[in-house]
Amino acid sequence: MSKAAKSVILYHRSYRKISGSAGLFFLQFLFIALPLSLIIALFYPEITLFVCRIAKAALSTCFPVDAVKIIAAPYVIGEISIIHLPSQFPSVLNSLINAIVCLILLVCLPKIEMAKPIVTFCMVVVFINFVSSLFFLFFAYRFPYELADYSVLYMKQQIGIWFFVPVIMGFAMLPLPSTLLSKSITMLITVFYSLLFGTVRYVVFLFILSKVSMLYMAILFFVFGPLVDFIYIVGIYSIHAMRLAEKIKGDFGFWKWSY
Amino acid sequence: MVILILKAYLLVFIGVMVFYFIRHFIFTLNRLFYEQRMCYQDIIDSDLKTISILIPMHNEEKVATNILDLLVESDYDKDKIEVIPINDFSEDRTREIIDDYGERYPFIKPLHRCKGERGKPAALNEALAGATGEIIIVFDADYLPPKGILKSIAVCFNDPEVGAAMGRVIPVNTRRNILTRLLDLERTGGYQVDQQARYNLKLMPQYGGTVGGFRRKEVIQLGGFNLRILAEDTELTYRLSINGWKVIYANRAECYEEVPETWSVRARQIQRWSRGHNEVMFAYFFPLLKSSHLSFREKFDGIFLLLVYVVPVILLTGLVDSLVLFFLGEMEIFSGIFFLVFIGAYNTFGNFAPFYQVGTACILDGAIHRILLLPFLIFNFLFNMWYISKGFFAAVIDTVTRRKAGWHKTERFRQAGSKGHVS
Repeated sequence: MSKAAKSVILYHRSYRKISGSAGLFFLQFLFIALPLSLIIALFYPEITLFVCRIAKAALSTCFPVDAVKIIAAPYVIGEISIIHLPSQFPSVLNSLINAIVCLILLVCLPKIEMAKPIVTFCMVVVFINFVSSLFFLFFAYRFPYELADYSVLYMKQQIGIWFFVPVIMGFAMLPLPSTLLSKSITMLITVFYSLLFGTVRYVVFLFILSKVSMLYMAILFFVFGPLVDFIYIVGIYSIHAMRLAEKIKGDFGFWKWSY
Repeated sequence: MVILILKAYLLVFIGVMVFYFIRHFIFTLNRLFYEQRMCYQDIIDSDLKTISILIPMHNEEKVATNILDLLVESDYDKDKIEVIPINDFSEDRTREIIDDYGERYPFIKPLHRCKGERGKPAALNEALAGATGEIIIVFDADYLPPKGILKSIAVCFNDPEVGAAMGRVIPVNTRRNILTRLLDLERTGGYQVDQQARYNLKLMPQYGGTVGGFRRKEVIQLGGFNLRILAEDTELTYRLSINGWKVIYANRAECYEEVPETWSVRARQIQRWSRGHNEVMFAYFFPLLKSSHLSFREKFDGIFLLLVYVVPVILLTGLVDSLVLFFLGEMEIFSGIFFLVFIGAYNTFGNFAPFYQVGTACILDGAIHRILLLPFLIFNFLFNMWYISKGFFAAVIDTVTRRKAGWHKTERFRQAGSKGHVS
């Protein structure tokens, strides 16, 4: 069929809209997103214990069995479990080498022919590591964290992430005109992925801080922390939205006009 | 005490982010579900207003013929238009090209500028002085106006309250690379949802300086364009609004533009926008609050809009603040909230619009596969934050020292002789 012989002319994109309302959205949010967050809020002691057991099993292959301990720490209405491992503080030489390398990179990176966002990202990573190196070089005795403290910090942050993932996904997805079932499944997948990702990242971070150096704690916290979580949150949302856009393309009954 | 201040700053920072999060969410719901306020394009008026189309051009030989050809093909009554391509100190073939069109078409009246101030605001002021149309419509030289757009914009001024009207901008070179695709997402979210929702909600849509028009006499009476401000479009939006004129948005008036194809050009562009926008922010923050012509909601939205290029600076300082607190051992109480910071930060400044707003705009547009690029907006996060902050500090220095910013044109990528096809 030629373009001139279209059997259906769809509404122009400028003023088309879909049926729905803010009230319906809030109802869905109340009954789908909030319960998921509540589950995290009510069961975080069990969740963190489960995460720690997996982390312990993974880390036991690299550390002596009695070096990896699960301990409890108080948090809001209960206790969270965390992994306790010995800290690996950097030597003066290590800090000095890190500081010099970072300084050289800070000077050289802007001159490298590379996409600016990547240069900017690298500059931020290097700058944070530079600050961390200087701190350990001059004020190592004032560094406020042992690995156990970081473990607590990570786990609390992770609970925050797990709690907010359904909230963010709820805000992003529930207004969309896909079925309630598909939206709920997508939100559940995101929460499970977040649990899995948070666990794997925990193991990797603990390994780095205990085996390599505590000097990298700042980078891990600031650069590879919550910012990275947004990549999969937005990624999963985009897959859902893309499939929806494909499905409703050309569906005349689906679109409403202006009012 | 220092720690308390740092923590308080972090809380203020989180509050600002949450405000922007809510604002964009309201826009998204409004655009999806509620009545869409249509512009005036369906009005059929036999007595069209006279219009002058101004096209500032500085070394635009690559693109000049495209826009002039399209304006020649426009369906607007040729007795009622004049096209003024403004050769602003060009050193390439721009002069010859526009003179050639001037000889062939009586309604094309080239204006050559070789002395006085350089830059778009100065060029527009000089052209305004000689223009005769009741309505002025401005296009940047890289734009590709479709046949009916002049009518769509001009008819808005049949409403006596309208001082300026803005159309929708769509990138023509979307498929060129990842940057152009991401900029396309940014434009989609910004126009399809943000501008339209602000128009629906009777807030303050923005006149964007191109694909838009304004009343000639009234703008001249208000003093023309301010030569000290780089963002002459934002400045005009606020000047008209606080003087009682409405700025409206015509989502149906679509026009194609060329977006930057390299990150260096984009960096300079966004830095310039930030500098100009923040100059407007310093100049209009209090006049906006004091204006008796604006409703509370218009003022509220106007403040949010004014601060759009300040928030990345707040974000940057917030991150430095967090880094200091981290080394002072004070991050623990913020560990949960810290995530919220990134929600706001990423949502608001990953791309000037949250991912859900951009996703919604793509669905409304019928764009499918480009939605998968949403996670790549992370590229813009630190990039925007850095270059916008640089622009902000330049604006601070401009304001404090009364320094005058120089105008730098955005580099064009179209091949000379190419038609600039839509991709």
